[in-house]
Parts: sequence; C-alpha cells; structure tokens
Amino acid sequence: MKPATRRVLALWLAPAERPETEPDLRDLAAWCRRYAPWTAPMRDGAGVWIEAGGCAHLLGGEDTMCRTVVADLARLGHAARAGLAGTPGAAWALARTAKTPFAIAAPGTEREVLAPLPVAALRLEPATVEGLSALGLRRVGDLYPLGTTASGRAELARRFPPLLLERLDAALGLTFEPISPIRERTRHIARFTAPEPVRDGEAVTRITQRLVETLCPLLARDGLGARRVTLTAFRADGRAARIDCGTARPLAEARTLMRLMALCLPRLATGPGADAFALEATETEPLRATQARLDGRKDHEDDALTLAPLVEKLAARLGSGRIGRLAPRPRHLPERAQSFVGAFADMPDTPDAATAARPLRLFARPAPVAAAATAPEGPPAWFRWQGAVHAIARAEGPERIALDWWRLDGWQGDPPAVPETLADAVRDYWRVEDARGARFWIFRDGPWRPDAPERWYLHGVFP
Amino acid sequence: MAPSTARQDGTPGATERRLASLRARIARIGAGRMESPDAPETVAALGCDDIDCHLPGGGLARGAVHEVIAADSAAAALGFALWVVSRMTRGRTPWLWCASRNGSPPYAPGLAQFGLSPRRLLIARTAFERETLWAAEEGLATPALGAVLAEAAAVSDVAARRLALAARTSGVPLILLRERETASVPAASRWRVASAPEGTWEIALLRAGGAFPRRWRLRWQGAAGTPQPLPVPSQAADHHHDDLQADYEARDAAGARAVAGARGAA
Repeated sequence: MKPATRRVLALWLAPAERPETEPDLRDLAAWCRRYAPWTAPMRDGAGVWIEAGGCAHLLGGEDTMCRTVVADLARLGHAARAGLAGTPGAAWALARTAKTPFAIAAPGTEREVLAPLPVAALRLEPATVEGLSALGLRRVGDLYPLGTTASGRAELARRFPPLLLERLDAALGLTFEPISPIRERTRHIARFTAPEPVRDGEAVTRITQRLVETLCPLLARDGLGARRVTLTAFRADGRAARIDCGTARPLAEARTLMRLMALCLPRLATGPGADAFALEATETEPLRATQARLDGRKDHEDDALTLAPLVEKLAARLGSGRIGRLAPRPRHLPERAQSFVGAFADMPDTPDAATAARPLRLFARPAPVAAAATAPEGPPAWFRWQGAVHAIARAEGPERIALDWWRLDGWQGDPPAVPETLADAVRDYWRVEDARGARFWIFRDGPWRPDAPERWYLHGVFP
Repeated sequence: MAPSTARQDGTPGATERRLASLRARIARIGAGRMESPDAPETVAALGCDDIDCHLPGGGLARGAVHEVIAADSAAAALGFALWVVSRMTRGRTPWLWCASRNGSPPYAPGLAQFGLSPRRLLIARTAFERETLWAAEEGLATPALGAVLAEAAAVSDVAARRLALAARTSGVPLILLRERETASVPAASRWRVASAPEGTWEIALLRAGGAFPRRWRLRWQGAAGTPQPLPVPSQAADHHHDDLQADYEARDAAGARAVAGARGAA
C-alpha cells in the first residue's frame, strides 16, 4: 500500500473517559469494526485506531464518517476526538490537538498540517519533550530542518532516544507504521446489520442461520473448512459480545455448522440488544474429502469421521479446550510427561513404557504431606494426607528423577519451589502401600541432607 | 469373540461358564432378539472365570450402566473400572472419559502400563457434575464408542434413568465411577472396590441382576499388557459376608416397600 492512499482514523479519548481496563478498550475497538474491518486498541490505552482507507465513501465521505464516529461514541458516553490523516502519527496528532470534534488532513498534506502543532503531538516521552523545549524546539515544524539533513539527524539521534526520529518519520509518511489489528483480517466473514437492535433468541438464531448460509459458500469456494468460527454481536451499549465455536474437523456444510452454532448461541450475551452481527471463520483448514476408507489410513483418522459429530457437540458446549486426548511427551518431569491435545491431533506413537511403574492418576500439583523417614535417604514410615495418617507397610524405590531443569521456565511456583541449584533438581520417588493396602506415589523434593528438613509430596495414586 | 482367558476345558469353572453363557443365550432368545453370528455381543466377559460364572449371562451387559464405588482414596476402584473398560473396548474401539476438570486427571504413562492406549481415549473435562452427566449421555448416543467412563458423585434418579436408556438404545456401556457412596443409582451392576494389602483389590459385588452379593480378592497382573486378575485365596473370598447380605436384604425390602406404595397409590 502506498502511504499516500492510506487513511488512518485515530480516535483519541479524553483521559477521564478512557476505559479502565485493556479488555474494555479491546471491546471498544471491536465495536468500531462496524465502520471498518481493521481496528485496534492503541497500545498506550489512549484510544482506538481505525484503518479507514476505502471505507469512508461507504459512510458518506470522510467528513461524515468522522462526525458519525464521534457522535456514536458520544452516545456511548465517550468524549472522543477524531483525527483522520494518511499516517497513524499524523492522525493521532490531529485528534490530540484538535479544537473541534474532529480534524482531517487531506492526503499528502501531513507535513503542513503537523508543522504548527506542539512536539508532544508526536507521542513522545515527557523527557524528550522537555529536552526539545530546552533547545527551543517547540513545534513539529521546528524539527523539519534537523530531520531532513544527515548532520541534523545525527545530532537528534545523539541527544534523544531513537523514538523521536522514528515518530517523526512515521508521522510524515517516510516510514510505514503498521497498526496491529485485533486479529488478522480474514476473507471469510459474513455480516448482517439489523434495522433495529435485536435481543430475541429466535431472531438471533435466524440471523445466525443467514450468516452461516453466507459464510459456507465463501469457504467452500476456496476449498476450505472452518475449524473455528467467531460470532460477534455489536451491541447497542457499545460492547461486542463474542462467542467462539471450535469444530472437530474442517466444516463447510451450512447444516452442520448451523447445528453447532445452535448449541453455542445460548452463550451469546446480547444484553440490551445488538444491531450488527458478524460471523467469521477465524481458523480454516483445507477440506478433507470424505471418501471411503482406504487401506493404510491411520486408524485415528477413521475415528475422526465417526467421532467428529460427538466431539463437535462436546466442544460446542464445554469449549474446544475441554475435549481432547492425552499425548505422552518425552519429559522427565512426571507432570510434564503428558499434554492435553486436540481430539484429532496427531498423536506420537506411545513411547516405550517406562521401566518403573507409573500411577493411574497424577495430581495436577503435588500435594505437600507431612512425612517422616526412619533412615537417611529411606522411604517415609508414615505420612499425613487429608487429615488421615497412613502408616506405610511396604515401599519400593527410590526412583530418582532428575528434573528437566533447562525447561523450568513457566514453572508454576510452589509447591514444590523451583530448585535453586542443579544438585537440588532431583526427586526421589517411592511407591508406597499403607497398612490398609492403598498405594501411593510419593517423593522427596531435593536430595537428602542431614541438616535440612525433608520435604515430601504426594504425586499420584496406583490401582 | 472368544474370551481371551487362558482357560482349560475340563475345569469346573469352564463348565459353569459354558452353562452360564448358554443360559444367557436362552434368555436372549426368550427376550425375542434375533440370534445371528455377526450380531454384536451383548455381554462382555471380564476374563476372570470365577467372577464371570457368578454374573448372570457370563459377564457384564454392554448396553447398561455399571456402578463402581470407591471405598478409599487410592485408585483401586479406578483400576477396576478401567479393567471393565478394557474388556468392553477389547483394546480396539475408542472410548470416552468424562470427568470434572477440578479432579486429578488420568495419567497417560500409567494408562499405557495398564494396557490402555492413550490413542483410544477421548477425554471430556467438564466444569461441574451436571455437565459430566450430559457429556456421558452424549457419549452413550455414539455407537462408535466402546465404552463411556464417567466420574460423578451425585446422580439423580432421573439422570440415571436417562443414562440407562441411552446405554440400552446404543449398546454402549457406561461405567459410573463414584468417589463416595451417596444415594444409590439404578444400575445393572454395582460394585464396591477397595485397595487391599500386597497389591491386591478387594472387590464386592453388591448387585447384578439376580446374582447374589459376593466378594473377591484379586491380584493384578499388568506385565503382559492385558489386565488379568487372579483370584487370591483368602479368608474373604468365596464367602457371603453378613454386611453384604444385609445390604441385599435392605434393598429387597426397600423395593418391596416401593412396590407396595405404588400399589397403594393406585
């Protein structure tokens, strides 16, 4: 895209009007997608970016678009000012400094428009602004002579953070400043605008049906199926209600997708009513031909065909992250030796069964227990768990497991704590059976030391 | 499929077993079902002659709910439930495990050692118990599954009946694993399992059709990859315990009262 044809609308919210939390700003940005498909919350929390290129004429021209956006936001209770220019930097500067509700810089006029504005309009750090002001550089135009000559640029780069030149160049359109959108723009999206806010469940279902029927041919045309669809309802109160619906296999049949959506729709909170809807295939995959089973096909692909309806239904109600399989992983740390993967993810072949026995259930987090060993480096004689004391009748072990200490980032913290040294990154596991026959997997964290108290954890149960 | 048990003809168990399976066949013919060679088996033998002979039909019915109650906090009951699952799925069909995401998850390396490939296992992690039962019912409506295992503590009568109906319709068995014994559930068979010393299980059959309550002591042999319990001679085995008998009688009495009450109301 040539900078000259780019049009960016910056919506600047007065500090008192800004949403308190980042998600609220994201919601506002999502709400703004009614004007243009590409919007993003500003990283500093000051407002919302809208890529307005090619969209203004749909809303009656740039003038009308800005007026509409500001008026719509005012109705939502946000005092916003809009700036429209060819670069995000210039648009922001206009919105920030405008005396009127909105200001527009005609294409190619950024340089002239920015010149009389204070340097703070370039989104600089306060220290930089003070430093510039001490040098008598108060207006953006004052920077032009320095910013265009090599010696001037070197001088600025020496005295100020590199942000200054970056912002100046970007605002003038000399470099391209991207806006990271909430999500990548997808081509598979169906929209519907209702004449008045809709909140009745049946009407929402009918609208969804229409959206599904629009979306599926778009997908099928490209030979794709949806793995995840997102239905967004743009609500009258400025929030965007969204439901995500995962599918078990690439879907492009309207009937199946609608059946799936029908299960999800109760989760859509339309609140006071929604007047615009968008259904987007946020993840797609090539459609797999549902041909007769050929020899040599992996057995779980066969399962995929027979079990897909079940998995879809469960995923729709429970959420797609809640239905899946356990895949063994080659990790030493027992709690990392398996991962929860999608129902039809490729499963590695089961590695050779570990030589030592493993429990049937592993606690998500090892449970600290009070225990006492009678011999140094020996198994505990008893331990207390959930208020009951288990006297140990038999013990097998120890099995020393060295932790994958090089993979410890993301450690959940205590219990057990991150080992301090390499020598501490071991656990001695014992299989113990109490007097009544219950069998447990218990470990001592760290090597045995005569001077330190032992830390015991219960980690699993055996059949 | 012939049971994979290494049974030798001529043992008393084999004779009884054959008798039991013949009786089950007669019962099926009596119920008006067509007998054809490729009809799916309606009963899965557990592979332990001593128990199979005792069960009506020579095993556990497929399209039914089987309840397993854990008597302690260790995993003996889970082990028994998984044994039933492995007999129902015969290591071939996929199966579904529904459990609350708050509980401890099953452990794939342990399952593999137990003879159950994680490949075949589909897991539904639910937020609360009603969702678990809903997921189980959905699973029971899928004939491609070999079995459904659900962990739930409180199961209402209505939910239990729905589950039983779904299981009967599709022929997929439900193994209901309960951590505590609360209100009883109408199930085709009911077991209470506890860990016992020296790596054994103490299994109590509380009810199964017309079978008498009984208790076994089993040792697990997982080395060969296929679960193979062996009866362990013990004081407890082959003995009708007083408490089991009492449990059975109390159930009978409750049933009789319910029938009488229904008649009275009519």
